[in-house]
Amino acid sequence: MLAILACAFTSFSVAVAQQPAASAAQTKPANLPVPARSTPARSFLVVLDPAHGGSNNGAMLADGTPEKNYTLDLAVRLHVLLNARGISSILTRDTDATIDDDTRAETANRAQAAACVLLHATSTGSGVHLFTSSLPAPQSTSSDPRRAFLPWQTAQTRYVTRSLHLESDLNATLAAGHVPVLLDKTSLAPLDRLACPAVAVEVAPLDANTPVTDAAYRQRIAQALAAALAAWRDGWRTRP
Amino acid sequence: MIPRYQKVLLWLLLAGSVVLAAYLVHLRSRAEDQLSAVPAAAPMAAPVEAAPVQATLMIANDDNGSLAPVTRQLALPREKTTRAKALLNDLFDAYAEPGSPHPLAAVQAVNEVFLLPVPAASASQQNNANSNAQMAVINLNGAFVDRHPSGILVETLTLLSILGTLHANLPQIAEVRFLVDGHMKETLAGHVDLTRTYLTANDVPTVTSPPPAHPSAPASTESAP
Repeated sequence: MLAILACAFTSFSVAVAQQPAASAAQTKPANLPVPARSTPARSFLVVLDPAHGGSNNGAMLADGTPEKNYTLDLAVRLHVLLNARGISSILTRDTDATIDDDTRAETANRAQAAACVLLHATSTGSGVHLFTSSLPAPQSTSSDPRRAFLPWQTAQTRYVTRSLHLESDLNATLAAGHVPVLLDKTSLAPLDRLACPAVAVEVAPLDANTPVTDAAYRQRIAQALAAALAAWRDGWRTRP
Repeated sequence: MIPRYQKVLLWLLLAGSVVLAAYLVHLRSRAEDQLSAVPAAAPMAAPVEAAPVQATLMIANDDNGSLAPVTRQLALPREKTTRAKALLNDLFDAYAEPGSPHPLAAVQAVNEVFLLPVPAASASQQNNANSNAQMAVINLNGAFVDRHPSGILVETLTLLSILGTLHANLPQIAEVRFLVDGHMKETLAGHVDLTRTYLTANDVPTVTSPPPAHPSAPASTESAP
């Protein structure tokens, strides 16, 4: 019995040790430098965060739909579209449950996501509003090992530059789909605590005749976001 | 027959009563003099009508997500805390007007503004050379917060409008914190964080007019952070 357990443990250890090397060998382009990453062989994973839920309705949209329902619907649509493109994604909630900001950030940070997209909706303004964290980017990039620990409240600080790249990809794809885009920065609790490239997407009505809850508009947004995340994946390993 | 010692005691008591009565009369007249002297000595400044001064309000626009400086002539108090409160309430009065680009409820927005010296450690961390830097603690009215529209953009613009207006008119305010009815509140209306300290130098946008279109996205607008 002990021999069987020892054999199984040895096989498992070898498999774990070989997996990153094999994966890196498969994905590393021949003539490109390997970006410095703490986990170079981790898979591309997107975290989708449908905002609000449960007792937290969020904003009340024009037709009386609570924001929490809209964001969950959009997240599920996006999840399906990403799966169709071969991109793994997880949702911080897939039911109408109350989840606090720390739990959402913890889910994303444990997953070591390549991109985190926070989904919101509003009846104010028009088009899609993209937000990155207003936290300042770090001034020093020293290799002090103590910097491996990130303050929870401001974990996004080290990812601000990559978040801006992600925002740029989302902006380009949405604009190509003739959706007006507004870029800004904000201080949002789960956004500031995320240790991944993160953008908050707030969907507003397209125009006076197309409310935020319009099914075709919603699908258009989901498709544009999925295309942008696919573009982000293509350049993910070569980005600084 | 009355004993002699009792007669002496009686005369002494009568004499003491006369002396105390005279002393009470003296005290009363002195108190009257003091009371009548108080109004003359009290410094009562004549009410002075504050002359209107030029103030800059950073007005938000929900349509393009911009902040634009609007100059107005406002009669503002000279004392800094009441001046800051009056400025902010004038700002929110502008948002309550019909046709406002950032419509908000017509409710008093700010209960109080407190100005405190910025802690030395905080000032050194921010390389803040201004030794007169102050932190403003803004106590928002709960009724105003309850009626504030919910959304990242609209809440962010309200916050930036407050920070920008304070920065433009009271540049010694380097940091801003928020309370709602005297208590800490996590968000303004479900989105924007109200628990952190905002730095007016970093958080206020430098672009103050409707921004140009994004170069890679012809159909988009961008509000520079």
